Amino acid sequence: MIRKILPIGMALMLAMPAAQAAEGDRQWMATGSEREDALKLQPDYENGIDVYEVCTACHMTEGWGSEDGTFPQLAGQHWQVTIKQLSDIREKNRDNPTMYPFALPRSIGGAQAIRDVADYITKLPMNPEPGLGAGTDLELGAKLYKDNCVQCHGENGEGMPDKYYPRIQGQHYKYLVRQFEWIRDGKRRNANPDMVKQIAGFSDKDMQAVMDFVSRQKPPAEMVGEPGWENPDFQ
Amino acid sequence: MRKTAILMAFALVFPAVLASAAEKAAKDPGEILFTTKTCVACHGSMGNKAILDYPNLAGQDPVYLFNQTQDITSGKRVASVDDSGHPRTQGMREIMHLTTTEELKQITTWLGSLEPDVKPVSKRKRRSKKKKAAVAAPQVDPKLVAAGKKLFKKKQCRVCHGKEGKKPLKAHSFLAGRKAIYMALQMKDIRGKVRTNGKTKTMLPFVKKLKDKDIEAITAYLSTLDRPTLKHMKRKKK
Repeated sequence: MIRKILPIGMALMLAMPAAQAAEGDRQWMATGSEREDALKLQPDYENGIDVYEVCTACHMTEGWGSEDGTFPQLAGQHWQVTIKQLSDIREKNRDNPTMYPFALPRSIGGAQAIRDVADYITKLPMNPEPGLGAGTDLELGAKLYKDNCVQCHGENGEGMPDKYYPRIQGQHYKYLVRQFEWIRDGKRRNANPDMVKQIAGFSDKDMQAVMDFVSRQKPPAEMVGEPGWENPDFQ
Repeated sequence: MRKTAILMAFALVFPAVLASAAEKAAKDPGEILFTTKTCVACHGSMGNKAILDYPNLAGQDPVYLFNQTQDITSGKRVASVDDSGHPRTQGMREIMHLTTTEELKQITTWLGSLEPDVKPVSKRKRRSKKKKAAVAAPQVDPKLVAAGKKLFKKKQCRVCHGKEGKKPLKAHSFLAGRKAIYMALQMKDIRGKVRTNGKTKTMLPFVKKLKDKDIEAITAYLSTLDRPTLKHMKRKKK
């Protein structure tokens, strides 16, 4: 009996398709992803403006997102990070049912479009007034950041583009908290597993303290826009 | 004498000019909210250029619209899972915290005051030299439309949705000229008891025995009909 089952079992195993990300799968760096194609392309900034138009409805024409954290600031984000997140959303490595339709090729285009819009976004001036936390636990926040986050997100939250570690400085506090929580608690499936391990022991209080600290980290002055600036590309 | 006449004419016309300019400048609060609360992203300019399989909202019954916002927020209205891997309503449900009930009343009132065939507004000129690919209008099989017309009659849809889906009962939706793909998804969800909110429970016996091909035919037929006017539906334009 076993002599018959074993070869059949092996044949079935070989016939199974290469693992695609599905609900419940965790993938930090999907192979064969559109991300890999997009990274190699030359950006077309002008096309990036056109691609970005559909994003303005939620991320705002300035790319500053919303203070309540529903929509993150995109402005100034590393183009590699934007490419990765857009690819992950449309390949369903990252769950975002609201945004999913807008990440699809028929909404924005193929790998070139992703490269183009990432180029446009990275060059947008950043929000001078992001949503902040309560400001009551910044000493704890600073310490936690120094001990846990610097090695990937940098001294000032500037991130590491080659490693896809995002720029988090000056991001809206409530967005930071939501993502941190989802990464810690396993809801964000495309989270870096090293980060998941690193923050496993963070209490909610720790989380709020360190994210408040990060929301107040200032990007370099030349990257930050003026309060009330309106993007002339969309007037 | 002539000078006075001209001055008088000017004095008569000028306030009217000012008034109409003021009228144009003061937007309906619902229209402003429709943009600032991001509804425009999915439902399109003037609620009449919805993306993918999301519905157009312009001119729809405002009470029906408002009820849907409440039911989607509360979870009373759900949908089958779409390509995102989530229920079709999830994307909307997750941003409903952006609006208060009062704001939703304003938004849905404004949407209901629009003519169903209102033109979406296109503001920006494309910067890129690359040409955007033209999207061909989907071809509808005339045989399917004819079959759908028969079924619409046979299945008594008119009882709630009105003749040709153009004169619905209060708080019911008009169907004429709406997106076939959206209507088909709703009919299937109603038939499958996935969507049970509001009057869709009453609708269940009407669609219970419909096959997928029937639904395709009915919705194809409805999508080719001219959209009714507010006057036809006996609703006031604001």
